[in-house]
Amino acid sequence: MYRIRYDTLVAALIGLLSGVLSAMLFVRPYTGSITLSEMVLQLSGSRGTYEFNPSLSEIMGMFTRFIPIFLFEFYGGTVMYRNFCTASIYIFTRNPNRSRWYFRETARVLLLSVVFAAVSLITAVLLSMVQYDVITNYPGVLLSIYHFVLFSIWITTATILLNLFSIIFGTHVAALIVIGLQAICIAALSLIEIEDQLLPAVLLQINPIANLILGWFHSRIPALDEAIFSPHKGFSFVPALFVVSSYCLLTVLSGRQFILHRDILSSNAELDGV
Amino acid sequence: MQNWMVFSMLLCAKDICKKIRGKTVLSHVNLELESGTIYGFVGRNGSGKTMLFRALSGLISVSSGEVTLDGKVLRKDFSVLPNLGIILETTGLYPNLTGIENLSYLASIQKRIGLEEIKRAIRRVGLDPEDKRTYRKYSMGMKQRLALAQAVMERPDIIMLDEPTNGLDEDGVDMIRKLILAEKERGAMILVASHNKEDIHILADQVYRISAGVVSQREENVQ
Repeated sequence: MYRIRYDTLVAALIGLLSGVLSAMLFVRPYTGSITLSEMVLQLSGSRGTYEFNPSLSEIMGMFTRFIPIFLFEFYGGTVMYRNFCTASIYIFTRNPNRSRWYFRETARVLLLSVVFAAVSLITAVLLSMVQYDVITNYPGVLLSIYHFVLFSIWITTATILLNLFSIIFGTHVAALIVIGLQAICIAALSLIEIEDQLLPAVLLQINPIANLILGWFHSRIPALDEAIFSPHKGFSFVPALFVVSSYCLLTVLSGRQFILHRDILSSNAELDGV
Repeated sequence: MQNWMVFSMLLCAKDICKKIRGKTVLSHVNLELESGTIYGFVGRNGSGKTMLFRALSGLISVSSGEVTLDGKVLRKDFSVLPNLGIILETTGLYPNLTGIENLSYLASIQKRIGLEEIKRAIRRVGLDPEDKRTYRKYSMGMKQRLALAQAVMERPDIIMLDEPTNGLDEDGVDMIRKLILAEKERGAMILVASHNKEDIHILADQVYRISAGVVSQREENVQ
């Protein structure tokens, strides 16, 4: 209980930072007022009323959007790892059910990711409401939910992955790997310019970051589809949810196998962890 | 009131070998260890003492051979040794928790003891259960004492202590030696690894020497 409280507080603080940065850097109501839908689209990559367009500056902008997320992943990516270092001796000798321990830790990471994503989004919205005239609309509420759900699942996935790599390589190398992979996915968004070709289209569909860009989505809900007004054909919420959830499930199940069979050869991959 | 006396147990290592990335860290280790006895393991740093404890406890698998407890095979009939108290290397506890919070959390896993037993264990090692400092603020000696407290608080049948007197002052060393002897009187099987010959000389009933993963024939320790 004590550990959860402390880590939850840190996740909320990083979320607060993320929300402030997002609101200040990426929410731009060019006419002085902004709809909630337009605001959420900007938080997920759009520029003004234009969907994310992978020019170099916008790719860099997308990378900048992810910096607070990377900060959280770096912190959350040591939660399970630090506990594993202690757990590997003191807990596994008391409860050899590593599976149960692992799923409990995974649930903790999920909780922290949800807290981070929720605080980040709420902070961005509230701060924008203070600065601008934010018009709440039905598509905006839906997009907020989509944004929260998709980002929560993806952040959970990346954070669990960072934890697992930390157990093998230590936190710094693990962070390089996981953040590096996401940076590649961000750079690969440029494939949207040739999405009519088969291979780029497939690569985009399986690119987890591409499935977070709400400005590329279509929707069967007319009001929502009109609010997004995407020229691209390949993305919508349910397939995006399937893609990010699949990555999450794969990571969680692979992690379980890893934890079950890992010999506990050392208590810490580096001096005192992070 | 629960009876904390240990029933007699036999822990056997039968020709166990362990290789890690092609390097042999344990080589054809054979042991027969009984309750109510303190076994000392001496060897230089890197000789394999800690790895042996990891293998005997079940924290790592062995490349060949088997470890049995009263005939049951470790990692087959059970995952780790039941009712084990252990200290390995300098593994830390949770830094943001106090001493008693750390031990309470660990005790909540098996639910074998209550708060009073936890407090008693903390006092036994010379610490104050009411100390509000978090673990990260402990000195090395305090951390070692708390680790010992967690190893003995649930009155385990088997206790494995890797360098138990590390970081302790003279009074602390004396106290820990008395604690270990008291656990032996209770009937626990105790394995102590140390490169400190005085610890082994004072505590151990039988001594094994370990070098490059090879455990040599035991000696009766003349105390």
